[in-house]
Amino acid sequence: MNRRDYDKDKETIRTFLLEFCIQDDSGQKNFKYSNQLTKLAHREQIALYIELDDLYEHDDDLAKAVINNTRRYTTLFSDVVFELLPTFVEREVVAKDALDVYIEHRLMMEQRLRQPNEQRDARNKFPPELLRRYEIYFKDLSTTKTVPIREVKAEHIGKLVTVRGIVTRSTEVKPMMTVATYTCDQCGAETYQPVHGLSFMPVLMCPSEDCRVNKSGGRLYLQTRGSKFVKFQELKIQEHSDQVPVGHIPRTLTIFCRGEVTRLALPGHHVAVTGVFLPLLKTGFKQIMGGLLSETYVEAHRIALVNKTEEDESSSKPLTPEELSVLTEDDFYTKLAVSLAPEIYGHLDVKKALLLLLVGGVDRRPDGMKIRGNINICLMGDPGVAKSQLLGYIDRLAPRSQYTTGRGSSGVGLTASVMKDPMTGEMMLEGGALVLADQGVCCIDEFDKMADADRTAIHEVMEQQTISIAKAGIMTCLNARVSILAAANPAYGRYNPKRTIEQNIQLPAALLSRFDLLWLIQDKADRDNDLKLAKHITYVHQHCKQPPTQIKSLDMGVMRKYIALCKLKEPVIPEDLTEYIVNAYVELRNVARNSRDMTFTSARNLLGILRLSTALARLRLSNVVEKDDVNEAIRLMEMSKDSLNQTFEKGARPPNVNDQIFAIIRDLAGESKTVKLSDVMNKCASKGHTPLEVDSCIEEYEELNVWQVNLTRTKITFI
Amino acid sequence: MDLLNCRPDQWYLNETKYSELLQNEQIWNQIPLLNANELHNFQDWQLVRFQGMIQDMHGPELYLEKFTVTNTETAESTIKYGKYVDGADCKSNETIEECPSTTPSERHVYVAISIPGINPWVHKLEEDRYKLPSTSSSTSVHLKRPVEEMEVASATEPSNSNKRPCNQSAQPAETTPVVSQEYLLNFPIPNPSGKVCHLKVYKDMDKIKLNSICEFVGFLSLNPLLGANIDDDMNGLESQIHNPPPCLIPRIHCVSFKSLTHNNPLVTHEKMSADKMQIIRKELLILLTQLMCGDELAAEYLIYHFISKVYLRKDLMALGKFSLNISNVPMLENIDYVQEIYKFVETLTTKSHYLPMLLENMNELNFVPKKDYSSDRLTSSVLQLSDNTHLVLDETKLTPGKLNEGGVTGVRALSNTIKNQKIMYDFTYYQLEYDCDIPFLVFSEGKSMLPSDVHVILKPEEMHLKTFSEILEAAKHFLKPELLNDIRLYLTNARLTQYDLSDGVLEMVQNKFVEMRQAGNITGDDLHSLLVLARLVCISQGRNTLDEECWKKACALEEARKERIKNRSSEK
Repeated sequence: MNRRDYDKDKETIRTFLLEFCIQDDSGQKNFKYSNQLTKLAHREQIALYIELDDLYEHDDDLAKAVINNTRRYTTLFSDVVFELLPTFVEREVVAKDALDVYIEHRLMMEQRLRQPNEQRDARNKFPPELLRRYEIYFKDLSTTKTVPIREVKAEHIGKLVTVRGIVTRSTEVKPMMTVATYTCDQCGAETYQPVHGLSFMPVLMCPSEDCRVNKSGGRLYLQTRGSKFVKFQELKIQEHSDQVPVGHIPRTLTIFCRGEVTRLALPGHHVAVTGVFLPLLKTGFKQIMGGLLSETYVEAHRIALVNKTEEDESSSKPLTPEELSVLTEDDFYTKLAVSLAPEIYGHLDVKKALLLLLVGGVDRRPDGMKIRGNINICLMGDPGVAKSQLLGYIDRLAPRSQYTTGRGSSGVGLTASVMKDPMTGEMMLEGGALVLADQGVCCIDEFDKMADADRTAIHEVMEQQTISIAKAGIMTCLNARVSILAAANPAYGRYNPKRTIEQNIQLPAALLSRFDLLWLIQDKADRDNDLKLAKHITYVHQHCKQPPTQIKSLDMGVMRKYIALCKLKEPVIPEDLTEYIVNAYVELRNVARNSRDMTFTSARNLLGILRLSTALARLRLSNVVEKDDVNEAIRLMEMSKDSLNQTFEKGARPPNVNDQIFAIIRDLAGESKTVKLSDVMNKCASKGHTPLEVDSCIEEYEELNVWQVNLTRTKITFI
Repeated sequence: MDLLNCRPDQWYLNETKYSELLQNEQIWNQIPLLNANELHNFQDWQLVRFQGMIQDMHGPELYLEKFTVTNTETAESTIKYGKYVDGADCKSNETIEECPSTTPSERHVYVAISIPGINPWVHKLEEDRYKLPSTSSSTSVHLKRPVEEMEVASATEPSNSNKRPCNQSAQPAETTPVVSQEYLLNFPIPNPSGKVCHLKVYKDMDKIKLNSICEFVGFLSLNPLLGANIDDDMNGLESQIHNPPPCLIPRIHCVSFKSLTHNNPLVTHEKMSADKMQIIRKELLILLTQLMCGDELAAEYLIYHFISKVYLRKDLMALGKFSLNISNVPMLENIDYVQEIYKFVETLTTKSHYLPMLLENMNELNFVPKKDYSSDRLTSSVLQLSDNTHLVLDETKLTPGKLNEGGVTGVRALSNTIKNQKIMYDFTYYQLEYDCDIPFLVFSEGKSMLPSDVHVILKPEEMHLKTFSEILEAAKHFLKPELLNDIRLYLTNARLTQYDLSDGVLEMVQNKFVEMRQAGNITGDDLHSLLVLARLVCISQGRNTLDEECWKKACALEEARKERIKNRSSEK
């Protein structure tokens, strides 16, 4: 390996600093670094950030060299800046602190003492560290990926790395000596000692010419005033939970912050740290033992706070072509739905609905009115039908979510509370689960166990998507743009078919209508389904894995990425579809009016259809809603109604053949009072009833005086 | 080659040869076992064996694999090796020089503790087998360097070059420890004979998981200077935790390890025949039936509980868990029923722990392991147990009173662990989930407040209750040493049995399930638990595949158990 020519590098650095410029929009040249140098020269700025992106543009080779040997180049840059600085002084520099004055005095003294003919820079005698009042930092290339803490290994020593983590500990900021200044008690000469490590051995004897020649044995005394200190702070960062392999303990990394990099992070902050990975040279006794061993740390160049959710999104790389090809296959809608909670068998329509909940519809704000796009879903069901597992899965899958149980949360805990700070006595607003889940999903298990008063607290959230607070002098409105996914048991623990739906649900209509979809998952014996379930379970036990399905379930990470992708779309409903939707809605209303349907069909359902269809369009990554989307939305809505209604039909009495036939005949008659028997026979035959059954029905109702049959038995007339 | 007296540098130079030797189980077992012996019987740099559970993981350490030591006076230089040793072993007039072009290597530090909850008989057996003949060994523990030599004090500038002087001042470790011994040892369950080691592992790091049980072979390092606590910087507590005194917590430089599926020293390579297992099972059933006051159903379930293990995990599902709640426990005069039962659990199983659910216990014990950032370690808790450690909870000890916040989280942690066999370790800023496999046995008067996979209402017989103290005596006599060992062996063997399902039986099961669904109240979860029970019935008899007989027995057992629960609830 041939050595790099550092002198040449120095030249490159000089030109880079002087000449690097970016053109802004108006075509003006902005000399990024030389402007900063001017500021440095006037002590208006301390930290000089060299963006490696810029350096890379200037000289890519040098940028790579910087990454590989950062410490050396920090010094090189520092030297170059030091040489350049005097040329940038445009006006007199105002001394900012005692050290500035001190340095100035010493420089003047030197000049006065020196012989006029001695052409020497006065500053030479002083260690450069003492005179430099600026700090050089590097900003990593924007293209480099962050290294997981676990992967920072020996080969990274001396190199610039960027790591992410959560700050677990930070020490107080303390002054650390970088140059120790001593005065001799005999000759008065000053001695300087640069300090590089964490500790140093004080110099005791005066090394000056006078003392050495005279052998006066001058003692040195440390001068605090003349020494240079920098701020110093030690941080510990720990891996994020998703980077920890199963069964391992999260790794930690020590970060040393100096100067301007201190006081940037507190415990609990998520940070991205760029710095040089270095071994810690142990001095003193430890070295003998450790000798060959060293602890390591990262000397921070840059600490940036990152938002956890933001980071999640940015860290999610775009989908790979393979993943995309899987997603663009036919029937990806079903595939995605099946991939939700693959360990739970069946319930495809419920899963589809949950998928739409994750994707969400489009928010609309016509003229200041706000129509939510978030989809709310309530799952009702017998105990042991995996409601909680579904909720748990959604909670894990959604990038932002809160999970609570109805019994364990009060209205205040869900919305927001006003607290008195014990220390300052100030009033503080503390967000509850719904506020914390803003722009996410809030899963509420055991919704029915919640006290009514608490439940009403979320009415506002479900429709207006805000929380208004008027308490203790605080009047405010918090955003709570959440999708609510609730799970509830029927009122008597199990769904009781002998009672009506209202009795079974026992939730107020005001609340129920706010759910776009209400699903009843029932545990019913059904030969085919049971056999499938049994096969599924036994397969798991036999092969110790999930049975292979036609549709291979997708990885959670891929799902997350895809859903994030979907959310970027803002589909619109084309003009020509509106009439179709309106008609569909009117039909729904009609059906609802005519049947003994206990679910509520209101204008909210229309909005629900719109939300579901926009969500479906998003799922297709399309900008326009199509007719199929609307159909599917209506289908889902009907399925959700059916899940409630079919149990009703199976209600108290077993389905009576006569009733069914009567219903057919009534429908057939419609407005007119008479109906032809041959039509009845045809219709009933198509529904699977035998002529015998029809005859008995007609006779029965004739006896009840509901209708009359003419003698030729061709016509039925209602009375 | 003399493996037992091998030195680290010899090992380093002949790594493959020695490793091959170690493959031989006989040689492996000749290496002295640290668990069974006192630390002072060992010498520095001796090859030892240690059985333990990984309790914590520290960060990696960098070391030099190869370096040159130069004598400053004679200018002689020798090459030394840094693998499997703690530090450079050099005199005061020597300097260390890194060999050019070698990057430092990485080794990982783990904290291993004696298996928590290990029962006394296991420990005694190991001691009998592996205890070293006691020698007057205290003199043979020689220090590498006389202490006087260390006290040569001289000041040197920290040099920038890669030459590191090693003749710097050193104080022998005399500092008084600020933290107590118990704090340093950090056992989940107090264990007077337990040992803690810091393991330095050089390879196969990814095979080591938290809470797994492994047997490690490595070089023991007892150099007292390692524990020297001269750090006066800000992380005083941390450096004490990471550099504890080696006399208390020795270092082991691990050359090889293997993970253990069980810790029963009785297990040999021969498999127990199915017939023998049947016979032992019968004997065990007789014993347990007597202990369960004549309730054979409870005894059956107890056997299954003893041999259960989690054999499949998928997301939230953990198949095979079999936490048992025995309610309606008799309250006898003069005899603490649960404790008497536990005495038998202790003699039969290899790992167990008895936890009376006293109000103060619930309030004060830590249930969830927590990361302590001030000392940078994982503070252990009762629930940090290795797989298949039987935790016996005594709810009869619970009295009415107030659970404080800690108690509530404790109860929650317990019930989550029973439900999912996962524990959320507390890392303050987030929680991390760790799988566990702890069979819980809960004794309670009514149905336990904690969830359980199987709830059996005990039906004690009058006669047994009256004569329970005699029954206990008789049971102790019944357990002759041979039988006792057979039962111990049986329990471990049964748990390790390979098991599979044939398609024919599965079809039968599927059809039965559909029938049962038609008949009434049964869900998919019930089928899961029936299959788990059927598996246990099967392996308890030493069979490898499910047959109809076992399935029917499982169904019958469940039916009888549910009948009792139904009767109980209708009585009220």
